[in-house]
Parts: sequence; C-alpha cells; structure tokens
Amino acid sequence: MNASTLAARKKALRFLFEPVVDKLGYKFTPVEEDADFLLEAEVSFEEKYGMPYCPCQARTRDRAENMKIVCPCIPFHREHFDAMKRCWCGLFIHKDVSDPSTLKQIPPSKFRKPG
Amino acid sequence: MKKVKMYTLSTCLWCKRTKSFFEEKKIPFECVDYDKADEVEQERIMAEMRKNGGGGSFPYVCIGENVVQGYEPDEFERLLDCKSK
Amino acid sequence: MGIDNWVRVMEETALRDQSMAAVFPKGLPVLLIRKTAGELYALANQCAHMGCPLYRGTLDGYILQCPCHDWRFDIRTGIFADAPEIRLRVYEWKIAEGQIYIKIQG
Repeated sequence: MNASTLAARKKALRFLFEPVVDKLGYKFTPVEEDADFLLEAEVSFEEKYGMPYCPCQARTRDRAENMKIVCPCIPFHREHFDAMKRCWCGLFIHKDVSDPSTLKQIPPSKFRKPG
Repeated sequence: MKKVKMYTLSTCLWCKRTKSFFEEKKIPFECVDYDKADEVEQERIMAEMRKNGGGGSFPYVCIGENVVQGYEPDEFERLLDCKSK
Repeated sequence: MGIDNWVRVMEETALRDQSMAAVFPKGLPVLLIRKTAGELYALANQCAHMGCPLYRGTLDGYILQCPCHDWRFDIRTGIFADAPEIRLRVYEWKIAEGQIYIKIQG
C-alpha cells in the first residue's frame, strides 16, 4: 500500500469510527502520534484480513471472539473500558478526559464489574 | 535479578512502550510477539495467559512469579524493586 | 407535501415471508424485511459500524446480524443489541394497491 492510499484509509477509518464512538461517550485520543500508529496497524489488518482489528488484542481461530475486537470494540467491553476511561489500545478515550497520559490500563483479570 | 518474560503484539503501542521501559533500564527480557508466532505457539501462549486470569489483551509481562497485563510502569518498577525473599 | 414523501419501492407480492429486499427510495439504501403478510420492517441498509449493507445479513427472530462484523440490530427499533445509543434509522412503510411505499423525510 502506498503512502497516499494508507493516509486515505486512515482518514476513512476516522470518518467511520468518529460518529460511532461519539454516541458511546468517547473520542479519538488527542495524541496524534498514537492515533496514527494505531490506525496504521488497523489499516494493515484490513489489508491482510479484511477487518480493522484492535492492534493490542489477540485474534484467535474463533470468529465470534474475533468480532469482539474489531475496532471500535467499545460496545463489547463497555464496563471495562468505561472504568479505564479509554479503550484497551488507547485509540479512544472518554470525552471528559483531556490528558490521556493520566489514564491507566486495568488488566481484564483485575477488573471487577461495579455493583 | 528476577526473570522478565513478556508476550506482545508487534502492532501494539503499549507493547512497544513496555519493551522500551525494560530496554532503557537495561533489564534483559525474553519476548515473544504473539502475532509473529505460529499457530501452535499462539495457542500455547493464549492457554498460558488464560490460565493466569488474562484474556487476549497485550502486553502480558511476567516479572518473576508475578504477572502484569498492560503497560504499568509503576507496577513494573515495584515488582523489580521487590527483593526476592 | 406529505404525500410526496411516500416513495413506491416494490410490489408487495415480490417480497415473500421471512425475506429481505434492498431498495433505494430516492437513492437511499433501505432494507425491507417481511416477516409475514402485513408485518414489514424498513430500516437503513447500512450497518452503523462501517456502513456494510445489511441485506446479506442473517435474521434470527427480530435480530439482524451484519454479515461484515456481526453487529446485531433489532429490526423493530433499529437498536444495536450491544449499545442502545447506537441505532439504525427505521422508516415508515405502507402498502397501497399492492405496492410497498417507504416514507422519506424531506
């Protein structure tokens, strides 16, 4: 994939994902360098597998499981991500967060559902 | 010194930062990129991660007997500083 | 003015029970689903995730699953099963003189 195609597809993913995550209370990380790195990984997955998978979660041979890590995967990990105020890979953060460096990853094993 | 072993994804930003953390501190570590491994190795890694209560979220870092899932520099520091008793 | 917003899309007899049709009133992608005679649903034929046509999706009861990434929607409301804030647009429909019409806003 040449540089202009890559840039166009990254822009397209932003265009597609922005309204989806907005409804869920999230926005793209303001750290452009991070967003660019993660989107580039997703574009490479689209090229290889046809799907923009999360760059920080593992695919397995189970399609149903894999579909839960197609970006934006917030709906399928809502309570966990809401607790972190970010998605696992950090491409999206809560709308009320301005500095994502203050956010930490909470391991899925340590995450306890509220209530 | 505690043995450091990690499973990472080559596409994961936080895995890169985790590796840099240990490299900058000149702490040797073993690392396997899950996405570069063959299927047999992938299944073995996933089974190990699941056994320790983690799902498929990377990075997955073993420091001695402890496991840290995610990029947690404070936790890495704490576990490294802990003298083995 | 109102009457002009009803757009004829297909003959009622062309849509069998438990089947779907992709129609394009005024160019808009709309999915028509017929459960039984007189029980129709019309919703945006574009997944709220990445815009995949839902026409080739699978229908289980009232849940339509997108063929691309398995996002699931309730055809009665358009609501996404895993996050109710996300929904597909649903369209009003009517049958008149054996023809199916879809109401298009504006």
